Amino acid sequence: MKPLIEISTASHVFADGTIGLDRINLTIEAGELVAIAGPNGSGKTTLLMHINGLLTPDSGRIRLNGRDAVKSLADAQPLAGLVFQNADAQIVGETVAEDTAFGPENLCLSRDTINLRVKAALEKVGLSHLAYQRPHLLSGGEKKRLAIAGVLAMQPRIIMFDEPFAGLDYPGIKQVLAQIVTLHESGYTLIITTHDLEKIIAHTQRLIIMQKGSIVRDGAPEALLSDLEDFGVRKPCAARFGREALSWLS
Amino acid sequence: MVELTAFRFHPGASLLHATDVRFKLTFLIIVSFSTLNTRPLGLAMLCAVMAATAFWMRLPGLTVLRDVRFFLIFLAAIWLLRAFSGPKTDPIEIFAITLSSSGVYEGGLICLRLLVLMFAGWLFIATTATLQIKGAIHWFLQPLPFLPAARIAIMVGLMARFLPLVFEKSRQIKTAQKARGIQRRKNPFYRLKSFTIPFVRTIFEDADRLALAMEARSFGENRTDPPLKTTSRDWILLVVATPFFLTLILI
Repeated sequence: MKPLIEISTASHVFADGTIGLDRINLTIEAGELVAIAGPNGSGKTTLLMHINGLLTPDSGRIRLNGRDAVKSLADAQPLAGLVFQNADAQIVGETVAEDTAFGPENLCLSRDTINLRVKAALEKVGLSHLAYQRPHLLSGGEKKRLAIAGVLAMQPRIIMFDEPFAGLDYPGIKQVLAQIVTLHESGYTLIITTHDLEKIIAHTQRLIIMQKGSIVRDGAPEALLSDLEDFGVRKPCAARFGREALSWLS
Repeated sequence: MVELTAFRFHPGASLLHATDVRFKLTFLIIVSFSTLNTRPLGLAMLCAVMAATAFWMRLPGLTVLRDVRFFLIFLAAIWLLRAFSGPKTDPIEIFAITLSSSGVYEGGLICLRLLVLMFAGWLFIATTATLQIKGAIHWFLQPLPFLPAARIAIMVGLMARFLPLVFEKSRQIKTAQKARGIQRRKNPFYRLKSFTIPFVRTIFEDADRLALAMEARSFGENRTDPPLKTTSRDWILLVVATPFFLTLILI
């Protein structure tokens, strides 16, 4: 069976000469939950933007479900949804339902299909009761869930989260983490970038460490814990005391 | 996040909310034209009708007055200018100050007209979702040749949607600068420069982030527009409202 995401020697250099990606080779199977860690500027977000098709590699190839993500962008993009770090910046609708409908409307679906998808997506993230609320009045955790609903309504197979816990309070973090765990259990392939592994380490099966646009480590989280601080990523608290990682949901 | 400016869509189920956006846009055009010819009594009646509508729909009228306070000051300045500079053929004496009676009348009329226009625009924005506005503009422009109707509609829709956020951003920057004592600086050019640079930078950065987020959700010109539905109620409203506006012009 072909991997869901297949990246081979993908490189990207920004206009100012900064290296975004440096010969990245990566395969991700369907149903995996992968955490990508690394300091600021290590290329985590750039990698996600390549998978979503927002950026294209200068060299190398990215395939989603066997299709070239650059050549067939219109087909590939809805496969991989991206939840941005700043939920406020991605809200375009004036009500929760309207914002959730934005993606399906862009896919030119019929109004009935859009309504069904919006209803299902809001139910999945537990925001049905706020469907006609103004998004800017939601809490941080709710806004993040709305962003997830917006992506879910496009029915992707891969959901990518860019720093999903940034700027959230403790209840917000728990809401978003619970949502991530539920999505993973539902069979979605999840990619989560973070420089703070504490919150996600107990739930991930694979950890990738990036530095200066390259993948420097890729393996089981417990095998990589001792290397984390060499690459500017803080070791989770439990690991410092030699204990097993604890879930923030327990 | 704090409550944004009152100049935005307020979701609801009132008669105006339920009215087809194309009819609302037509009413807005009729009101705009009728204010050009309406005399003070008609304008006062228009104001009263719109105020009653806002009150009935529980729209935040007082917040609007707070939001447009600088516009009201601007109107007051226009009125004073007309009152002082008008012809002194029939002067009014108040505490040794001579005002032109025709200037007072003409200035008041201009201010009232602008106020009615602003209020009508607000009622339209407050009861119409941006996507609906976009859909209506697209519908109106579509028959016109050589006009990129979809693109124009998207641009207008986005502008209407994000204008309140721009106001909010400006408010945040002003508050942050007040917290660092900007009010102690009396030089208006220094204050303007200190405000403009971070304001423009943040607006561009936000626009950039938003564009990326929209693109990530497959945004394009061809998309499913919101359904525009006309009911018999819309036609009844048009039949009732048009003679009303015509009467206003005549009285």
